[in-house]
Amino acid sequence: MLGLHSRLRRNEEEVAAKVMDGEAIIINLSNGCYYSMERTGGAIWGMVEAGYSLDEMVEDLLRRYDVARAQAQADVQRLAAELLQEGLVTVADGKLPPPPQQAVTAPPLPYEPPILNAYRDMADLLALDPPVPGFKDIGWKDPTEGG
Amino acid sequence: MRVLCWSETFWPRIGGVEVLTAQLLQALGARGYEFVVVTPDTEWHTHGDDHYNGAPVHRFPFQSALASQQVERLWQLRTQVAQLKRRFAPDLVHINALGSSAIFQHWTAEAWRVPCLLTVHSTCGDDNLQHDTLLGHTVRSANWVTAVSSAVLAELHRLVPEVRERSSVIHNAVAMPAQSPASLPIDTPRLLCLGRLVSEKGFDLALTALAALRPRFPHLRMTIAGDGVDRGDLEERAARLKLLDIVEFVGWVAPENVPALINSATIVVIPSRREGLPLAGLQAALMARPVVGTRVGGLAELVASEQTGLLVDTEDSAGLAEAITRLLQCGKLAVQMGEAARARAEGCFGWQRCVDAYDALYQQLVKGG
Repeated sequence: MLGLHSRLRRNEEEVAAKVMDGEAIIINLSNGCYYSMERTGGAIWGMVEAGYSLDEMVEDLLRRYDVARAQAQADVQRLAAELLQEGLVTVADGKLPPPPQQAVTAPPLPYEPPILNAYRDMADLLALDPPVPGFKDIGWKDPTEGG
Repeated sequence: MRVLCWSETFWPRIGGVEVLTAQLLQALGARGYEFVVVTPDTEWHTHGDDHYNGAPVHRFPFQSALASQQVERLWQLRTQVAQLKRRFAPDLVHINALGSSAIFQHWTAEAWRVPCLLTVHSTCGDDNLQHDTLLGHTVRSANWVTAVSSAVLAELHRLVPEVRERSSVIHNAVAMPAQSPASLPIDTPRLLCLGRLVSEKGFDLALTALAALRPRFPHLRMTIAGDGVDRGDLEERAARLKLLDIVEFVGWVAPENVPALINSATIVVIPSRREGLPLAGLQAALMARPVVGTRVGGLAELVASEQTGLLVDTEDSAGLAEAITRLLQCGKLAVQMGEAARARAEGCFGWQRCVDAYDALYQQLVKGG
């Protein structure tokens, strides 16, 4: 059962992810599904990777964003459930080291509920209309070229 | 105005999307628009950046990076695209055709926030525009969506009703070729199939129809122009039907040589299983050739059946053979339909109208209208 005390861990065997500039790119290597999360979502994924409990995530959001506790709590729980359902994270067993505390500078940022964008068609799209060897034999002119 | 043209496929690859995009760049460039093209690289065109009609073309290894599933590689590409956007500072992003590379447009949308126009050339099935697909995201996040035919727009509205208020049709068009139409070769008739050799184009049905026509029209010949993953299958089919002596597979034909190719044909056959609005049909019409095709997608808008050509149901090779027979038996009818097709193409699918429509839409989107 997922509670506010729970911690999540990236499903390391099947999931590759990176957070930069506040945006997370996540790939489920087992099924080729791509995901992305921006802003608040990117921040929460960073907290997952850093070992925060859901409670600690809520506290961090409250420090950084202009958001009510009830909404932050509901959003974190919803997103955690989605991440679990997608197989991107597992519930962490045992005790993890306490997460690093981040210094927060005022003023609080505007809040947007975190959204896990899923792109389930990537494998299909990449398989579509593959290049054929004959393609290299053609070419047509740029109108600015002479001849 | 600066426009970042995000083209899923681009010159020198050949196809409807590529030809339309290249001609638009040229026409709008002449009106003062400044373009940069972002496009996936190809196996023969991987050397990074080049130019088309004066516009810088940046070819990125999007597909291979996505297929590698290496996050670091994806991130490097994302960073390069974001840097390009900041450097070029476009007023508008125009995504031409749906495809996998659009994920990098999504990932860099925040890096340079400008309106985004999406042109949809075809949709492909009920599931591919769901909320949890890249194509679905691409359609839903665009500020405006244009479809190349009313049929494509209607399907888009059925699948994504929320874009109804921010979408429109801009029919595909091609610039009028310099070459004039030649007389139809009636005594030595030739059928032409022109396009990518993939299942959706239905050229297998044209071969079946040709086999049925051969006993009645011993001088009939067919040219299949284009290339693609199904070329081997089509050549095998032609051999199985004992047609190799009357069917010619000529491979890709450069767009500048297409008018001459069409001039060699009596009828252009477009037996597609799915279509947005085929440029081959427009090119045929401009060269005063009747089209025998299938009643599918935008083809049914392009061809006025019984006036500029004849349309039959999809998968109906017997119907194709019957329609071709009608035109071969009555050369006068074929000539009349070809001339009517040219007049209709000039009137309803004119190139200037297409360029004007994109020009007006670009201005409207950038002004926030």
